[in-house]
Amino acid sequence: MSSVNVSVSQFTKRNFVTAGPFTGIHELKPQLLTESAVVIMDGELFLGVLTPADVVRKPHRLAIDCLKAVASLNPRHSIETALQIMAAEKTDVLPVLKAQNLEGLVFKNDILKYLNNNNRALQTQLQSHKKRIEKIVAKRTRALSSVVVNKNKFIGIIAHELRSPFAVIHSLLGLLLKDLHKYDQRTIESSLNNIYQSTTVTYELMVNLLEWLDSKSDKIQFNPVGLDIHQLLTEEIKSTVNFAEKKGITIHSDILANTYVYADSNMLKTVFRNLLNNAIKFSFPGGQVFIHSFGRKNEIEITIKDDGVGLTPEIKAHIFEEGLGSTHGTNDEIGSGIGLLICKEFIELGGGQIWAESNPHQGAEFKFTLPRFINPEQVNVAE
Amino acid sequence: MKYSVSMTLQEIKLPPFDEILVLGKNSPHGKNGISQSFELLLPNGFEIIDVNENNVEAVFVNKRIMTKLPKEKLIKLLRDKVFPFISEGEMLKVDLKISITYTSNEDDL
Repeated sequence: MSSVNVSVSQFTKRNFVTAGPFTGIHELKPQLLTESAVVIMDGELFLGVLTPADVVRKPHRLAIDCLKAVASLNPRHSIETALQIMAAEKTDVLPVLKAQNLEGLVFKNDILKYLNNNNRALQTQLQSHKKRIEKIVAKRTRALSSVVVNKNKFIGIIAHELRSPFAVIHSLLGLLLKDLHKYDQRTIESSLNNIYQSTTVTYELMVNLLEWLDSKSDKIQFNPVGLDIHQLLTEEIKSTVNFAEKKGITIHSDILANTYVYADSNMLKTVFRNLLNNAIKFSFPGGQVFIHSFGRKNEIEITIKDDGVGLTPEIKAHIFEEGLGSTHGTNDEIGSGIGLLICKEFIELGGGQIWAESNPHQGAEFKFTLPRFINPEQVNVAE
Repeated sequence: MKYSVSMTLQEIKLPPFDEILVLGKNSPHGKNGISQSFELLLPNGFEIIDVNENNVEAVFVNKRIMTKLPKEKLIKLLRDKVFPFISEGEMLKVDLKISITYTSNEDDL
């Protein structure tokens, strides 16, 4: 309700001063000065409201002669109406009548005071809304900027990252098709191996890109359940074992069975896969990757540590904002760096945090937290 | 010690006029107050006529006059002959004698 639509009833003063119609003005002057208005009653009959202005306007000796006939209000009248009538009647006070009986007096000052206070409250509210809106606008501007950055990154990846492996595939297939009969078995196997590696990289990139795009477009479903990370991690280690063995890298995990987190199974698998692949990719041949967990009251912290090339402070500072960019592993494995963006996206969606601790040439440690699942009875074991 | 006393006796009447009182604008006595006092002195004796004049608020007329002279004619007469002489805040009593004369032929009766 608008403040001007408030009824006059809450402004009606019922403790007014009364006087008879033939009371002398001289006698009423002190009361007029202190009360601003005196109600003139003839017994039970309401005759009018005498104000100092009435006495100036009609300087007679008796109250009845000074009275000016003015309109009255009923208790349902709005304060807006009251102010309009007061302006028209050139008065600062109006009587409120109910069935011809006087209910009380409404003073212009009381209404103005209320409106003034209300106005201040509205100003404060307005300021608060303004600040909230500014925050929302800033947040959305940041989100939009992020969308633009992501879009540009996506276009960059499509244009740059996919072109290289496809160029390799294209040129090798061209050579093989043109002079297949001239090559020996070893050369053909080597070329096919290169083509295979390029298609693998391209495939992984495509999978990551699609997951990343889904996470950005809210298409991806977030269905957190209680997950045994030991079981889930074991499966992911198995899927990377070929890659690790090729470089002679050993993966050690000390995560105990029945370590439960509350997370989305698919998202957590993607996070593990990306971090494990990175650890292997940037480890030197014959290196080691360690995985361990640390439990807190409400969360589990998981660390994936390698003894590879590590991260420079510059890369570390922006690694989750921009990804690693186009990178090459210790065996010249190609990567887009988009995997880390996806990890951040998924971990934060699940209520956790992810960060990197590393120094150049001392290996890299990627750590993330997930909410601890505290009711193992309801565990939906990861498939 | 000697005293010198001068004394005058005079009869007064209340209200201090018989027929008409013209009440100027912004008189200390308002028409309601005067009306009330007249009502106490001579109940139902006067009629109050509100007039729309710059300098006159109301006219109190003895109802005996009203039975002899229509209100409109009386006010017209006062407007022409009396109101121009009323100052602000002044009250003026007007003595008005009415004589009615009939002139008629025997055939008219």
